Amino acid sequence: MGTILIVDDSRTMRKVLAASLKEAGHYIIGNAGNGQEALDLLKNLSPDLPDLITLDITMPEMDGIETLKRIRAEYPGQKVVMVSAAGQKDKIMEALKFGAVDFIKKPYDPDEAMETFKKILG
Amino acid sequence: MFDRILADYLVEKGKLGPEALEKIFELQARKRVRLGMIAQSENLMTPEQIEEINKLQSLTDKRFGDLAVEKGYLTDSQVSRLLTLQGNGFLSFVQSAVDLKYMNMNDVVEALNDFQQDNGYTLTDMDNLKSCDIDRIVPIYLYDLPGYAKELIGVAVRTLSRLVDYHVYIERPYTSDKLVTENLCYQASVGDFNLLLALSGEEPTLIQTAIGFAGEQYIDDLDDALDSICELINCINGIFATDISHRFINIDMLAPHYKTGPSVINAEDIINIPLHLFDKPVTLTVLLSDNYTVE
Ligand SMILES: [Mg+2]
Repeated sequence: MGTILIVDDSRTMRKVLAASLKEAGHYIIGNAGNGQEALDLLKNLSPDLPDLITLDITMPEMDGIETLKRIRAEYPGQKVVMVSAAGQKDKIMEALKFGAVDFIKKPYDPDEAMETFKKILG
Repeated sequence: MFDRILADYLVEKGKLGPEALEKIFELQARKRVRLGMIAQSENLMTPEQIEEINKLQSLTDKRFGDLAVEKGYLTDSQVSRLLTLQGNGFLSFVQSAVDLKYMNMNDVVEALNDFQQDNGYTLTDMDNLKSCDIDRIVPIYLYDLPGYAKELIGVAVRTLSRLVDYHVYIERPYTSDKLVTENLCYQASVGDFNLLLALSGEEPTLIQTAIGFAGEQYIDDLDDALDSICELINCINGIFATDISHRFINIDMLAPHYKTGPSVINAEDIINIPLHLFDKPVTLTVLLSDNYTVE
């Protein structure tokens, strides 16, 4: 159970992820379509930050890695899970180095994704 | 895949009408059984094992049989026996056409000979086509394309077959300096070489494609459809990037984009592959360069 901010440039992917998160009993505190929007949202929410942010890697303007760095600089304790397509192993390694707690893969396997969220949020 | 290719040929030659075709496809669909079900009915795998492999399959570019072998649930020879039991699309198509009395076996043999001669195919080509194995069929259509294009198109067709429409099929590609199309979804990748992959087509077909990929409940309009096809393209490029990274060749995918309505790509040597999804035409486009404009 937790509050979650979804960051993904694809609105269908946001819908898909939100549906399975809600079904698992989590609360979607917000949706952002790019990194800047995510940072703005966090500023508004602060100090009531989400329990977890899901952060897509491939986004226009500010990609997931850059967004992650800024989030972690501003809110050092913030938990972030990266969302990636296949073929982004280097990016995932980089994200983990910069403090992401875990990652999930697109297209989503709902069971596996929920397993990951349960591990982090309890 | 060859069932669809042959069906098109038979319609074009006036040997089958569209209504007959619909009835044949219907009967064929009722006959096709999933490999997992056959494995279960042969007492080779438990339902839990099948469930596990189905899940794994949704995450990788691998086939049911290969995954089951990797997990130690089946041996290679068991898989090939199951595949024989399952039959292939070509055989079940012919069987259905004959059962429904639209053709007899002599007609089929004659049609296959004509098809072979009209296309200049060798006996090996014909064997590959009849196998209905995507990995054996796609190269026949792409033989004169650059290596990366061939490999990427192979991944694309396999992924479309797995995630969107099992009956996807391909036509001969053509190159052009301009692609005039509509509803264009595209993604560039940059790195050791540069790449553009695009999918475009008419609204109803793309909506059906998006529903096949993401699920009906998530696709309300054309924007949703193109948005999710962008993710599908991202997924294809991701699998391709993983494959080539094993050979120490690296590319990074940039954010995908889409354009609704009339769209044009300008570039040199655009490779266009006419594909059929849900038996309707779409265009898959590959460009091995970052020198292009979209309008
Ligand atoms: Mg994205």
